Amino acid sequence: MKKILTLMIILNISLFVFTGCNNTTGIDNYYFIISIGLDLSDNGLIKLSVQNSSNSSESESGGSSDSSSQSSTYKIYSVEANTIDEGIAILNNYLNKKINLTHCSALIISEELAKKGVKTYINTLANNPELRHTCNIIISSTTAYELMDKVSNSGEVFSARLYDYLTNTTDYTGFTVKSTFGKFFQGLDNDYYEPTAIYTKVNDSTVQTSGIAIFEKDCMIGHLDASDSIAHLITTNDLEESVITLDNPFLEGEKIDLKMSLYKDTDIDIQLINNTPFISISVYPEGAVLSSGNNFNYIDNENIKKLENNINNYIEKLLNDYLYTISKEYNTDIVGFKALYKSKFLTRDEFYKTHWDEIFQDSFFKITVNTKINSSNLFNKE
Amino acid sequence: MENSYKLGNIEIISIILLVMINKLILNVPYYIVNLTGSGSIINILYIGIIDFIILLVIIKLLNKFENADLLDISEFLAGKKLKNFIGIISIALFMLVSFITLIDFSNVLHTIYFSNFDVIYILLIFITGILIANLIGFKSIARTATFIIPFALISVLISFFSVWDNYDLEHLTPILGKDYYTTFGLGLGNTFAMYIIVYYYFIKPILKRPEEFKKISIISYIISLIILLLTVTSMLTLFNTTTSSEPINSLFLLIRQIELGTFIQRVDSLFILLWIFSIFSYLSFVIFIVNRILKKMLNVTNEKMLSFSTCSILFGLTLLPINVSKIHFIENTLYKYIILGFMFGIGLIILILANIKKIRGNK
Repeated sequence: MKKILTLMIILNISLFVFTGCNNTTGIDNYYFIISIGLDLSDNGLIKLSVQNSSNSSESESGGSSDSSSQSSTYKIYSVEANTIDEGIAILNNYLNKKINLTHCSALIISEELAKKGVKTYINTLANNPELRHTCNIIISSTTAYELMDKVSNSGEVFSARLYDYLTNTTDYTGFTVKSTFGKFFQGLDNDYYEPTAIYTKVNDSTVQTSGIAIFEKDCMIGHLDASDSIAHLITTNDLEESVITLDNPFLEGEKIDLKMSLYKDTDIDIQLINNTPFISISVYPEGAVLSSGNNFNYIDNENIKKLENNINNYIEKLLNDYLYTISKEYNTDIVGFKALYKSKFLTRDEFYKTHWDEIFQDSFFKITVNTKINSSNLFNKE
Repeated sequence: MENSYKLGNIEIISIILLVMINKLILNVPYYIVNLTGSGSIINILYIGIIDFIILLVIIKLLNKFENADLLDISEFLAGKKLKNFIGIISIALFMLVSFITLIDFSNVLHTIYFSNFDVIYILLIFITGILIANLIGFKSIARTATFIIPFALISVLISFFSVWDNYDLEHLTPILGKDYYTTFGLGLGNTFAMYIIVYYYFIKPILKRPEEFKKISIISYIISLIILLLTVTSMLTLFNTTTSSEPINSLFLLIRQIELGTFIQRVDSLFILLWIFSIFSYLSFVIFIVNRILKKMLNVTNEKMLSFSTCSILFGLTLLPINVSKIHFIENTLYKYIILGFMFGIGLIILILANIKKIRGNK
């Protein structure tokens, strides 16, 4: 009896171990996409585009899309639909595979669609367990499809890095911000600061980052240029490294380049004076002189002092322009001054009595810059 | 009680921590944050102190009853009828807890990882595991818990520190939350978070050294409070508290953010694996408690065989056609008030009355 029982157990286990299943979903059944594009179609629907890497040079378009791709290594499929999930379902049907978002590294939204509001689309994708919070959000000045198409032709053969040149540029230029899906979703759902995203300009043959797309609630209200982006990163303490160019104080008509970063976190203090926010910002940049014309001498301490003063004035103007642009022109708190100011209150109800959202536009700013020049790279004097 | 059911200090502390870890896995931190917002840290310290005072009272009241749990004390107080009544209430509470835990976690697994499988298979795997664990014996459940707990505690610490860079400390302010009434008045409802107190009513007879009950209770309570505080702090600093969006599992959203360097992302599957073991052990322990109560009520010689019926009932309950809205109502309202009623109502009243009876009897 015992032997029969043992044999039955072994046979039962073998059934599961040594036999295949006809309805399993394996890696071949999935279509791993590397980016999703969202555009507004002419008839009020959304145009969903998905991009994946391919060895083929042909281009295809699915569903009701009339578009085509010139990609040599990547394929783009587009479809018009009422919702993202409907679009994915149509594409699943067309491709005869299930679209999988686990490797999606970029969500591209056209400026036109972003201006109408993105919350529905972001919430839909946030509800999908496949999408990583590290997926980047990029706003395209033209259409998302066009950006995907141009990026396809960038020559990058490693699909995971296809969007790196747009998304990682902030680390060494400061010309845009880091904009991940998780952070953007938090910003949308947050009452204390507004979300931002990478803004890109699509030209005839190329695509490049060009500052920050700024939002109020879930609608894009404009974009800031590269210098404003540097100012934004300084204010929010996110500046890794950037190169700034200013007038050479020693040689008229010449320019001087500095590699800049922050040696100390930016201090922000907010006071309410006559029911108007007075925001004092102290920034601590440090710089290395990269090039300064054909005649320079940084052994002399006076020269360094003079240069530091010039940089202080330059950054002060940079920050003033940026801060008055976001407060007066756009009235959007992308820095999160509201979040900082609420920390002065014990309860949220007490804070709400200040009516911050109404008075933010009247804010005035005091900028203090304390620059330190600590290097002149390979030469101190020429 | 038989020697095979006697547990050492470390084993029993592990089991209590296991209960706490499972509460963290099942959205309890979210319910706290949802109610008290940025005031959650102050609220946890506040409810932590209140619950601790109640715990000390319970320890003091249990002191007079050696090797007795709530059922024995009920019998001492008013005979078999009260014992059976308390037994039925306790079974209902533990079955509700198991049901919520099982259905909630199975749904999370189904949604996130096994959407191609019917949820009934996931439930069956859990039920079979619980049944086997209870048939093997309580020692095996306790040892598994002791083995898992260090990893579970490390996972809480990892989830706290590895997302440190993403923390937005402004989410912690205003420190008192919406207003004083919400944090200190309505926030009193969060005392249910220290649900572990329910188990202190039942663990005394299974202690190898009952004289160390006070020490065990205080140590397990303080560690539980610390891990609750760490998890709520992580959640508070990562997620906004002013909106109405509610995740199916807030701890899962937290661990999804973990990145170890550039290359290691999406370590959530490792955590989920750990949680599966932890849920297995926890549910096995709860079913063991239910079996023990049934044994005391029905005078059964071997409660192991009761596992078949308790597991079948649990499986049957999970098959009830309950939608998300009803689960949410049971979790957030019904469950909360039943636990509060048991912890600070029935349990405490019986202990106080039994103590009065004992003092009068001595006189």
